[in-house]
Amino acid sequence: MRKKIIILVLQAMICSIAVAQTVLTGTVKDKTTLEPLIGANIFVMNENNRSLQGAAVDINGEYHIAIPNNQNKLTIVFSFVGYKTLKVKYTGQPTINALMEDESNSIQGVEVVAKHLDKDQFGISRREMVSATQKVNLDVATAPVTSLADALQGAMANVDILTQADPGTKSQIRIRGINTLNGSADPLFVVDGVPLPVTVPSDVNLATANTDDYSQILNISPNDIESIEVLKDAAATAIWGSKGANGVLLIKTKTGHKGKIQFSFSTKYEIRKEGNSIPVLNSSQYVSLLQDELWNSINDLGYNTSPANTYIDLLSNNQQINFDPTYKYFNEFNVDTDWQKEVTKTAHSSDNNFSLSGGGEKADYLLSLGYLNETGTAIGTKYNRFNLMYNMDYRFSNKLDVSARFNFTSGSRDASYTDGQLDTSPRGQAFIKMPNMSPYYIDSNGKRTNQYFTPYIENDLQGTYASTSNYNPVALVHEATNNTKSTNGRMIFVLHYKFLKNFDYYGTVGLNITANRMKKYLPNSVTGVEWTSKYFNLSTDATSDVFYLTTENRFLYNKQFNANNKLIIAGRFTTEDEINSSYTSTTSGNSSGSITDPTSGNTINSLSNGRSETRNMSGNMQFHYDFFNRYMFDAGYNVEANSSMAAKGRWGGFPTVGVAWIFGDEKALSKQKIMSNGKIRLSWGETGNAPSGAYPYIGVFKPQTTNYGDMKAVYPSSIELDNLKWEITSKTNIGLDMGFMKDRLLLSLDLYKNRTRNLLQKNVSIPSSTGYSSVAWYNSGKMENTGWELSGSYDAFRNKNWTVSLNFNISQNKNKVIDIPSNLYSGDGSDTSDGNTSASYTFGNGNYACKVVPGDPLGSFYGYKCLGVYQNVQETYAKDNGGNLIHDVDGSPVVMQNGTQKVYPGDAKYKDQNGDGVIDKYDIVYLGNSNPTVTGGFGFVVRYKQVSLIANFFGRGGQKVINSARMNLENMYGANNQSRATLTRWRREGDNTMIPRALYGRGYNYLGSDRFVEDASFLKLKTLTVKWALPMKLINRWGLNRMDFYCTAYNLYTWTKYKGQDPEISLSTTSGIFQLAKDGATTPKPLQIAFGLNLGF
Amino acid sequence: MNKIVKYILVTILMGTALSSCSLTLLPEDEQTSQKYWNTKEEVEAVLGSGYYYLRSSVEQTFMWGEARGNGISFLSSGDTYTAAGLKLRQMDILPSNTLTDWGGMYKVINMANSVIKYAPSVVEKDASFNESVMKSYLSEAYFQRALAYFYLVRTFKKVPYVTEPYVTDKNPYKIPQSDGDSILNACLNDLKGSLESAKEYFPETDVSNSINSKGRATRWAITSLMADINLWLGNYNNAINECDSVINSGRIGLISGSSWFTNFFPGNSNESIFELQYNYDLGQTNSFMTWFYNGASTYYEPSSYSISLYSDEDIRGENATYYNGLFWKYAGRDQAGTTRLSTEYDQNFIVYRLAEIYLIKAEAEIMADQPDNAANDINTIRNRAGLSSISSSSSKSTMLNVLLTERQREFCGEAKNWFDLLRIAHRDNFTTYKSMIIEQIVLWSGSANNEALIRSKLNNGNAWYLPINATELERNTLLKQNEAYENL
Repeated sequence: MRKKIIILVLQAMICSIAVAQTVLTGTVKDKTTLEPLIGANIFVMNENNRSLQGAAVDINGEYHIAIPNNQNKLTIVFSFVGYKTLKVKYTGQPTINALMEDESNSIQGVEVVAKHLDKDQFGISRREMVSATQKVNLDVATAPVTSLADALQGAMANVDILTQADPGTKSQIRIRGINTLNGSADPLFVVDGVPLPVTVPSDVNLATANTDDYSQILNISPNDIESIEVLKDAAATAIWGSKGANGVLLIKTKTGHKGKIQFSFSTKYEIRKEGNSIPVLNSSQYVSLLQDELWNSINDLGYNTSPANTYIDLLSNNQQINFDPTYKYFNEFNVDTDWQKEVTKTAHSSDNNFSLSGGGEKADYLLSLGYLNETGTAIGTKYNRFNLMYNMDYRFSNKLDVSARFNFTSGSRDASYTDGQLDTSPRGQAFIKMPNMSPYYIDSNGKRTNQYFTPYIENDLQGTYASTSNYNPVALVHEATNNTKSTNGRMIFVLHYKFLKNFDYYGTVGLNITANRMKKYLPNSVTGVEWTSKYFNLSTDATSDVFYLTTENRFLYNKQFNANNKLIIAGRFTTEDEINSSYTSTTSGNSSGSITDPTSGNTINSLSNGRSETRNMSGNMQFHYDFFNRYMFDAGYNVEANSSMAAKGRWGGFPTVGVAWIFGDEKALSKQKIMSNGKIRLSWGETGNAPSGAYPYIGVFKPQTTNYGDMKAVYPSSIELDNLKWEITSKTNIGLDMGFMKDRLLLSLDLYKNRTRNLLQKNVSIPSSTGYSSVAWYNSGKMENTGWELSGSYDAFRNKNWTVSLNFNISQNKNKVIDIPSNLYSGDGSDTSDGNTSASYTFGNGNYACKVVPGDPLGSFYGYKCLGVYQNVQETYAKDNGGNLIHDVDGSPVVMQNGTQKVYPGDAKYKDQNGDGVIDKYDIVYLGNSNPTVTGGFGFVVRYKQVSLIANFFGRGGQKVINSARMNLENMYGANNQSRATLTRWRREGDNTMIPRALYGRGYNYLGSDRFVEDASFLKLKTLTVKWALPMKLINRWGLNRMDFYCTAYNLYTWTKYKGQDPEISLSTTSGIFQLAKDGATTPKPLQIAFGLNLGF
Repeated sequence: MNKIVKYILVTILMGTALSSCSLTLLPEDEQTSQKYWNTKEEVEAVLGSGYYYLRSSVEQTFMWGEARGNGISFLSSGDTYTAAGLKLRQMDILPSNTLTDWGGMYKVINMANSVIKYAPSVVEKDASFNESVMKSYLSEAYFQRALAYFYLVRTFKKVPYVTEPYVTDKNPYKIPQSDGDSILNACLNDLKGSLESAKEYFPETDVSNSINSKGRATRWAITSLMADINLWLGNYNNAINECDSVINSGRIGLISGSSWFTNFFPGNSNESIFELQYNYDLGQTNSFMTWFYNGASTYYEPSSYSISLYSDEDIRGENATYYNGLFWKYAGRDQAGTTRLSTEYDQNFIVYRLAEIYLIKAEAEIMADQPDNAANDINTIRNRAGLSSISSSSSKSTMLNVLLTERQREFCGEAKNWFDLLRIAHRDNFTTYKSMIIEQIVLWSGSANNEALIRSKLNNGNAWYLPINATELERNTLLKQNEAYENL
């Protein structure tokens, strides 16, 4: 019905400008039953298929339609849903009676659609392309997923995707490695021809608004996506300009198609359960570890010395670990709590989608509704998404058609509470919280009450919230809130006009509006701070809006001169305008969690807001020439300007060229039967990357904190960067596509080399003789990514009952820094308050040196070689590089030192590289890097009659990870609980272990060494689906045309040697340019079992 | 139908045109450099920043002038500058020492360079900004720049000579070092040229506020700086003339006898020529009480050698320069032992006062073979302090020693001591007076061990200057380390 209403409305619009003259009448009936088709449409079309007049069949099965004057070559078109369209030439006849044929009796129409050539926006078909692209047709029904990234993981070669387990969180996507140090490395998403804004503007305060909010812009339901294409080389991404420098993912949403109205409904129910957690010590093991730690420290210092007194006091007088029945919290400190269990749960999710689609001669439409309700295994994490999509295409005539895409998404995400102060997740806190403590108060019967036990204890062993972020993780997951509501509206209008047979115009306007609202609340039951503290009932209120407008004007000339020569010329002009605004307030001392408004009389801790605007425009010319259908030549030039650079460096020009040869079609080869397709592609091109942020080049004047006497004092706080340039990556790609056995086996191999120059460096130190210590941006340095990728599919077997097909991809990327100003970057991998990695290495426990060094890849880390544990005093004597003992002036042997501290038996033994008897920064060596050497995935489909088995595997190999989680659980340095591995710690000579002795607050037993660097290679069985499609015969009886049941298991099994919970570890967001992979105990991927039903009618 | 097509086309093109009208977008909540330099007030505010940075470098310039030499002693660990200064005193100087960071002075230079470059163009834009006011601003900027370079050259010998502002990145960040003498000659030229337009005082503003006559560079401040630089460069006759011009200006006079202390409280006295201003009421306070008068935690105290220089009749001695072994000139309200109120913790830092002009003149006269004139000028200062006159001597060394001692008494703790010693020692390329000055320095060296170290290290002329900061060397590859520190 809906279709009809729309068509009628459109007809009414059109009618208003036409003048009726002659009237045509007649009847419309079903060809077989001869029943009148009430409501069928009748149009008068001119030679261009433009509708001049329309009418509908009335209740008597008759119609009346006016025929416009002065028109020749008219056609009368009869159409009705579910019937084949009928066209009759109008030659002045007064009456036309139409008999229409039921479409279900004919399948011809469907075949026409299937033959439709897959072309890009320049009208170049896949066969003719010279660039490296890969396309995935999404059939969500076969492998149900909740997010786009999930769907793509492991499916495309060299599209490296790492997802996170918490619902609604952002995934890390890298196409062919990282080509930039400070620019964005995220690929561009283009939905229905319009780019999406997915970068986080630099003006947004990352400490309060986390990047996940921006990922929600991407929350398109996978159910609405028809296909995804990845563009990798410069020839392919050229037209998307600088935003596509890191690769482009083209997403095409589903559209309606001609034919009877179709309904489909799918539902899914899912259970998630976490795997086994890292086992930690129980109460008694914990207490004895603590006593061991303290004793060792006391012994090192000497029992009767004053420095030992603090430890003696802790050992003998601390009521938290001593069995002291007089202690007022005796009950609360003498339990055995599995904190990990208290903050996790088994989660349930559901996903429901409904869509209807159809179309006729003039219009196609698709309406889709979806509701997702996802709960995480970490208590308090949740994601709800409602989405509505309406896509419509309308053909006015052969010359003019328009299409419109509307999408509305509303999402709500609950995450664990985090802010700048809390450096651990509730999961991390649960690992280290003392196990003898209870999360709740205990009543006199020894039973838990419902009141959280978060007391303020003087000299608390684990510190306070303000000093060491010590808090009650159980209270946090239940009581603290961190909710982000985001609404997104996306509208795209495309107008296509055919000026001439070979000359087309496309005009596109895209509008994307997002509004986010975040509310966070940290009640005092979590922190236990005094009411005067700035953390007392802390709340944060933040909003941010993104307005994004794009336009595109495209002219296309496509001329087939004769059978052997074809020319395509395309011109394109685009603009983008992005406006961001944000507002954040943090208040404390709120009287209740419901009051978070900064105006309600609490203490305002901070207020901030921001507004920024960026613009981008580009003009683009592309030529494509095709000889003999075998030789293709491409050339293009893109001119682009971005408002983030000064007028001088704002315009960039980026050329591309490419050639392809379909050698399989050469006569010499076309006779053989084995190879059915063969194509060689070669392309070269350049892409640019602009500095991120709205006004990075602008110099700013600011007032000094105080004036000078009566004089006002103002100073230029930053330099205006007129020399800022584009970071340019030149990309070379060689590709080979082969098809064998009538294309049943398809293979595609690509080799590439991407070389980036004028690397954008952020916050570069400059000589202080300039009056500044640093500039915001500076272009210098070179980097290279080389690699290869191979993907293929094999349709192994197919008959009436059986189908067996396989697909796979494997790729390798190698990153190398070629040139960078010396000493520009080095750090210790520790996090600083500004959210970046510290810029210098400090000798200390847990610190890894990280540097960007020419010759080494990005993401390299450096540290000490751990040799185990000193077993006895003899071993602790220092030896020089010749293996001889080092003696002091008195002739007695020198004892090794870790930093400033002498080692004792049981301490960690590091390799003394320079043989000077002291372990310090001069003993640091290269330990590995965070880049995987191989990534890939494979899958298969086996069908027997109505039952299918579908499996997808995903793997990464060779990346090294700093297992920070393990480091925190094995350091035995303070009052934190530790993993059960520490039960094998060194206690006496002869203990064969890598784990040193426990030492409270002293020593260097967990320096950043290879002990915590692990190989995180893995292969994961990502999904395994069993599907049963009910036989057509049966369901047709019920009025259905499709009914499938399926059961899918996600993350069923992982093959890995990694000791942490999940080897799928994203690069640390705080490691800045060092790009380190650190395992910080994030939620591991749970085992998920989903049951689903798909219906079509 | 065709109309519809046209309308749609026009709409799309309009949308395109509107969204792409300009690629120069400016933030709405910040003062961008593209929109600066339009009014007189904006020029003056940057000039204000130049003084601001001079003032915020006070502890560093104090340490440059006092850490080595014999004027002060360090008692507690204090702050980072104290710790760094102590290393200087112990001749344990590494390129990583905080005091080798010259960034503060270059901030002053950048402000001055900005004013010099942009102020002339503002005259056309702002009707209230006339040529003569603009030129007087320029003279202040030249003064700021010259003073900063004078500090740098005396401390590092060879430094990058930057004369273009870094408001945009037009100029290269890396600039090689220039010879100190040529920098100072260029500065002298600037000062000479600007002298004409410099203000004798600042009549258009509130005269009762002494910042306007003592806190900004007047013609007399500029002349004094020129005299000082000329003395350093060995242009003795120029120095004498410039001193005369200040002494005879009619705007500044010596404060006699017991009023000497008003130089420090309330400050901005008749004798004062240029002081870096603090003002409690305007929120411009300092930490002088912590540095100089904080009981056992005091950072800097007069050395016992300094205290030993004062005789009983010297009005600058006990209860004036020092009290209870601590610096009273920065702490007292009067010579009766009343300390400053907490609302008076805004002691100025004196750069030039007339007494120094007399002594600069005297030193120039000694070097220009006019010992009688020199003795006269020294006696002017001695007599007003209640001391008897001295007679002249034909020996330059004798006269220089008398002069040096007089300077030590007059300016104890005013960041002059080391520069005085260095100025005399560096004459004739560290030949004639070097050993004499080393003897002066070891008069108060802390310990015998230290004494030997000072003697041996200072034997090398380059060791009298500080090394180039290690970080700076890394960032500016065109720099060359001072030869005395090359192997560190």
